[in-house]
Amino acid sequence: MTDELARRFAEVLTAVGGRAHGPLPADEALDLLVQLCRERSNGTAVAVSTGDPVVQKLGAADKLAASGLDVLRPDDVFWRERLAEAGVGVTGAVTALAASGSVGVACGPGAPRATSLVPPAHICLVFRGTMVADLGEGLLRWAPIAADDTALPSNLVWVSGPSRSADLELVLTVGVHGPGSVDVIVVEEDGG
Amino acid sequence: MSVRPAEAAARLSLADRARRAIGDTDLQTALAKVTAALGAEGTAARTDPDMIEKRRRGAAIRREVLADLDGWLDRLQARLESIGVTVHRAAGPDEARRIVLDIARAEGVRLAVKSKSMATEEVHLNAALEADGVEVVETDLGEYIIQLAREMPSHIIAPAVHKTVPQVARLFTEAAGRELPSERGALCAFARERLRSKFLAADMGISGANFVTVDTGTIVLVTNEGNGRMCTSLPRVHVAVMPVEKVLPRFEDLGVLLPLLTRTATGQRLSTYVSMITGPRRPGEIDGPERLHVVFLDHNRRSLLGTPYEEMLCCVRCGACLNVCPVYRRIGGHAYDAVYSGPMGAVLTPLLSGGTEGRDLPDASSLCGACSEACPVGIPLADLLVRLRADLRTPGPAVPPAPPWPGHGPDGGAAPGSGPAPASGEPVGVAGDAPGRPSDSGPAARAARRLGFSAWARLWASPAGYRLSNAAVRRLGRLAPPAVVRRTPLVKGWGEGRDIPLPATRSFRQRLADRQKDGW
Repeated sequence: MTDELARRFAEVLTAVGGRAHGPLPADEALDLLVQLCRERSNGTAVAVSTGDPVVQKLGAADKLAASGLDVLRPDDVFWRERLAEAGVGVTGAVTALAASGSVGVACGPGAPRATSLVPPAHICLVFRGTMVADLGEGLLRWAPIAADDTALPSNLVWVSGPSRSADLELVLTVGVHGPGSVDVIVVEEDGG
Repeated sequence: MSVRPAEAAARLSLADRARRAIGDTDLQTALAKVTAALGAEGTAARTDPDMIEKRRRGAAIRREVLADLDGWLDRLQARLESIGVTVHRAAGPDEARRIVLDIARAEGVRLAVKSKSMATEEVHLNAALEADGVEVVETDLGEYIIQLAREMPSHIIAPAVHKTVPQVARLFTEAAGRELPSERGALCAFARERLRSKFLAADMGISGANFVTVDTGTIVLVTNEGNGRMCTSLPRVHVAVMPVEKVLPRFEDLGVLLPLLTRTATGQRLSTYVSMITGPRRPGEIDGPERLHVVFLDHNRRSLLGTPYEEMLCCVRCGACLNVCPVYRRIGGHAYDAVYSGPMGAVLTPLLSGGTEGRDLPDASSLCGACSEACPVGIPLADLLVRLRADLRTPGPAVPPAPPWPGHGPDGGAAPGSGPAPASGEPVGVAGDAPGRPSDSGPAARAARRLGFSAWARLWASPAGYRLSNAAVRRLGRLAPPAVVRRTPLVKGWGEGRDIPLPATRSFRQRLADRQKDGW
């Protein structure tokens, strides 16, 4: 039985210059995470949004630290300065969109906006159960909107692959301000 | 053709700017590339069945907003204020600049970073901030390039498309203070490094807004580079300038309008980053703006409500009309000498400026209608251009100014609908004369036209008169060479850009009679 949605997601994300992995069971996903972080960080720190629900559920930060990587947590006193030197940012995502190869990265306490933005590489963990077909479906997650509802995070960014610009004679350059390297690891658990 | 001498600060006519653009081979190459590439995407998007449905729904959503724009704006203000956003209303550019300057002063801003925003260019915000001692840095790569070059954008989506890589290398070398190679990777690396230091040090981030949803108070920004995210996540203050027509009723409307915008503009299913910002930094968060301001910008937009020009407010700024316009594709954005170019710019510029700018832009059209077809939200651009040509024949704005916002009143003495104020004298375009527009609206010209048309009508009212005048044109037309005919008074304007064909030796009726004689 093929997982059409996950297959489509991987196809589109690859087409826009990102890399898709999985769906993998949680333990394999974590092993892959460690491996990718090691490769991409190249000795520098790995910034992790420890407050992100997906990251928390998987225990990703502890796993990375246990593997000997230099984990930078948001509660670090020198978070902002050290983030500028970090080689990788690890976040979770609320949902993934198959049609555009996108992940929805929400910010919150312990999950700063800058983790998926400042370091040159971004690795994102997302549960297969939260994947939907397209943006229209993805936005319904927050519907219906009640008048006093603040369920939406203060910053929700839909990331579709690495940063790019075609401003120079219309030829594509990757990694202009945001990360030039994007990996999404799809984890088999439902996640809710 | 005689070329008008360029006066010190005066602008060249549209015709002269166009001629210069057509003679610029680098520009022609760049225009061909960008309009072909982006135009192909727009065309592909038009035939995609999913997109057809979205176009229909997108158009409906936009018109739903316009039916009660003031109501939606009031509801949006209430929602934004309830989530900790400060809302300001700017009737025109003067107010908008004053509001942002006041915020900058109050916050002690020394350095501001800007995400690409046509609205802020419309109100000439950068110059005002710089005059007040604030360093302003454009962070969209194309905008950064034209900021260094001190030029206007030449295309709404790719503002620096007219610049070649060697030209950019020269600009960046000067900015860097060291030699940079004429190579994309190196130039992008320089931009990334230079702008990153600005992002991290900036006190204020300024953006526009692609959409703002009323039910959630969410500001939506669409970028590919990540500079938009940098500007709105890192500095402690964020100011979003929102033209009033950007509002959408519901959060889920974004599921229709966002893919419609990005597919039509660049062919992407979604742009790389779509930021949805709902309020400032919350307790427990360590980044994001501590203070978030939204400035509602009117600038004569509300004056279009209830007029046929209201449709123009549906525009989502995708640039599709630019890419298919036969005029834009040859002359490029700079020839329009306005912030917005192409068909949408030709409609918006005279309307937003209250008739003080761009009066000749509706003439920069062949009325082929490609723009109307290309528009993803169904704006009848060609019809609006024709209508504007008529409405701009009389001096002053094409539509009366809008009343002040209900319950808000004009504040700070800025009159509603104030654009670059006409000050004491007449607006540019008195008696219909825009720079470069021939004096065909003066009283003498109008009288001549009236006489000429009534004489012509009388002549052709009788079959004999009709036959006689045609015979005369046939005889005389063959006597004078086309080059001379082209320059005769009444024909000159028409003949400047068109071939004048020779009249046939025998008229159609004569040929028909001949054939009938032969028993045909």
